[in-house]
Amino acid sequence: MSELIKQVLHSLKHKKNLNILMVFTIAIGIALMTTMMTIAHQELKISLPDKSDNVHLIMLDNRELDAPVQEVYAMPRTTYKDVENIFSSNPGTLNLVRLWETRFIAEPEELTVRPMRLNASAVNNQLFDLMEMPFIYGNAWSLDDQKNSKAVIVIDKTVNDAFFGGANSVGKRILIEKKPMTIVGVMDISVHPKRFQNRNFSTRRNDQAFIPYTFALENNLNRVARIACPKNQTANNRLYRNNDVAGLKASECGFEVLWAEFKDKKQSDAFFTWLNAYAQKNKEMGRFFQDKIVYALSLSQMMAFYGDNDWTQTLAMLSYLLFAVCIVNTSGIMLAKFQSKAKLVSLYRALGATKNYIVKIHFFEVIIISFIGILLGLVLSKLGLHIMYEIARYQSDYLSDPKQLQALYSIDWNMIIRAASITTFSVIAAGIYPIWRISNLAPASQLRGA
Amino acid sequence: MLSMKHVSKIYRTDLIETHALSDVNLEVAEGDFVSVTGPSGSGKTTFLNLAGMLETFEEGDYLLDGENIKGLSDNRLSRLRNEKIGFIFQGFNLISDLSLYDNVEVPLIFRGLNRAERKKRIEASLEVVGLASRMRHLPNQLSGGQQQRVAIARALAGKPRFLLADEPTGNLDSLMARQVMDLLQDINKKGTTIIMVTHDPELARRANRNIQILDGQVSDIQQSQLTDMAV
Ligand SMILES: Nc1ncnc2c1ncn2[C@@H]1O[C@H](COP(=O)(O)OP(=O)(O)OP(=O)(O)O)[C@@H](O)[C@H]1O
Ligand SMILES: [Mg+2]
Repeated sequence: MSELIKQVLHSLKHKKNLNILMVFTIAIGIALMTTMMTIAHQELKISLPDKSDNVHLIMLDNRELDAPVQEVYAMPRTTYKDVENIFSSNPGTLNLVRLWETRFIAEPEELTVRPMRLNASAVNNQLFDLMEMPFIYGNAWSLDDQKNSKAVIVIDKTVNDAFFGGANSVGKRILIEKKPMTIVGVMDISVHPKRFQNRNFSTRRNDQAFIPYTFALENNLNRVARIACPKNQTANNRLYRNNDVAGLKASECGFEVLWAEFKDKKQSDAFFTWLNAYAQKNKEMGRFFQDKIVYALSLSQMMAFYGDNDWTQTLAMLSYLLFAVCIVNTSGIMLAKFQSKAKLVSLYRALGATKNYIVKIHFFEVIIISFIGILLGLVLSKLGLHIMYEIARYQSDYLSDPKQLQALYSIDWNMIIRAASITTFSVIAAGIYPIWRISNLAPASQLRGA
Repeated sequence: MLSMKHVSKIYRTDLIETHALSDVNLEVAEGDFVSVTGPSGSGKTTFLNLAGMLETFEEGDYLLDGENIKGLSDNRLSRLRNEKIGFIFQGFNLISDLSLYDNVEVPLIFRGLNRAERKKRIEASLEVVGLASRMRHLPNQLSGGQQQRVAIARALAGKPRFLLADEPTGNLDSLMARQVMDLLQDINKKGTTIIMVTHDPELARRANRNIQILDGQVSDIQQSQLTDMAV
């Protein structure tokens, strides 16, 4: 065995530069592939995989009759009126969640740390159950708090880290636009790489806090997402965004995202039957105009739509192709290297080495080279992902949440194992022909003459 | 111990067929020292390669120690080659980045001998060729004659019954050639059968049997005929 190792090392030493070339070819191939595979995988990763078929985005098309045909994904948000009605008389859901985005300055009560501008959403407390939100400290707020528009808040771990150094802050207060809010829970939203809850699926910025929608309305926290008003009300848009809460409530402007989670098909059928009837009734009252009013998309359908990122897919394809090119190239270099040893190998054969022995030497050589190539490839992958991460940060003007991005661009070990096995397999495949060629050399065939 | 009956070897390339050897009938007895002469391209190396089982042949039978080697597996042939035959190739064919010691060790590794046994044999055979003191040197640190002696040591280390030498003196000046020849004669005296190709009639005459190959035909000749030969 130690003799074999000696032979393998001797064989490796032959034309050393070609080894380096092979190692780099393999490593670059892997790095490209794993980087792209990881990004594609992360971007295609489904949120809440266990129930993504049962969670539905509910939309009511309240646009005028002459509104252009458009994709379901682009249907307007829901009006306050409709959301209130659906909440008060729906026939049953596991969770019914309303949400709109807001943005505010948050600061600790004693000015010990710098204030932060937070991306947040005004929601009802069922959101936490629907999102299966992990709490590090505390809990969601209670229904009572919600009914009474209590000044309570759930903050993300990152905010808690910044303001309280990661300590349990439940019961403490922070100021939101100078209003004191009691922290009831600290969540870890990083389990959701995408901000799906506001329909955007952004991988750049997720909610950093949630507050009760009742509090948001009562204290008129600004509404930062698009408010979709019918043509005759668009003039009020700005007013509705920042000031006129009563007007917004009474308007036909959609600004709420509405999610329903169902226990089963029976429950969802009942819900939609009821909702369709509700929509028809309101159409008769002159609030809707279209033939089809009720639209719903399951979370998995939306994932398929938002995950279908052409750019990612194309790059992933390209990286596979490049990897294939790298492997073919490796095979070529190996063939060249082995062929340049023809004289030596035919001498070995003449001196009594069996074909098997020649195969063994070169097989181990291939294994060693690919192993080093794979290791280097992993290092390069890590570097590649870091570069992608930096690019993503740069693209978002460094406004994105670094933790969220980091999660997106971190090595996924499943991916690595997959890539490594693909590579091992391919490199061995690449080695088969050169090994076959070299081991079938006739003994002494290269020795005739000097 | 070596017996060829009606052996023929044809090289086929895209353009031509070369009848490198045709209908060779030859018996070589144990302990013989056979010289092989003949003009360039006549088939001398081909003959040695067949005798050493480095190449296959189409027709005839070849018995080595009574065993018909026709149709033996590659594994078996490699084994036979390794155990029974020592080669001295046309050109030294030493491995340039291995020391003398390591060069001589190569066939012993293929034989599967353990380290101690290998060491013993390497040292013994380097001793025979008078290079024991330089066994850590690399081949290119030696003269041509010394390199050829290393090649001989490599062939001897396996204690072969049979030594096949393809122009072992071809690249050497006459003094060194004579020294190498002396060495081969010593080895032969100790019982190793030798078949040696040479262009040098004087060296050929020192063998106790002379055969000639002309256009693939093998035949015995008298020592007196050796000088006439155009080489
Ligand atoms: N692999 C091969 N393919 C085709 N023809 C070959 C091959 N090897 C040898 N030959 C031919 O077979 C013939 C005999 O070659 P061989 O090498 O045996 O000659 P030789 O007597 O050893 O010559 P030299 O004295 O020059 O070494 C030559 O004509 C040669 O061209
Ligand atoms: Mg020759």
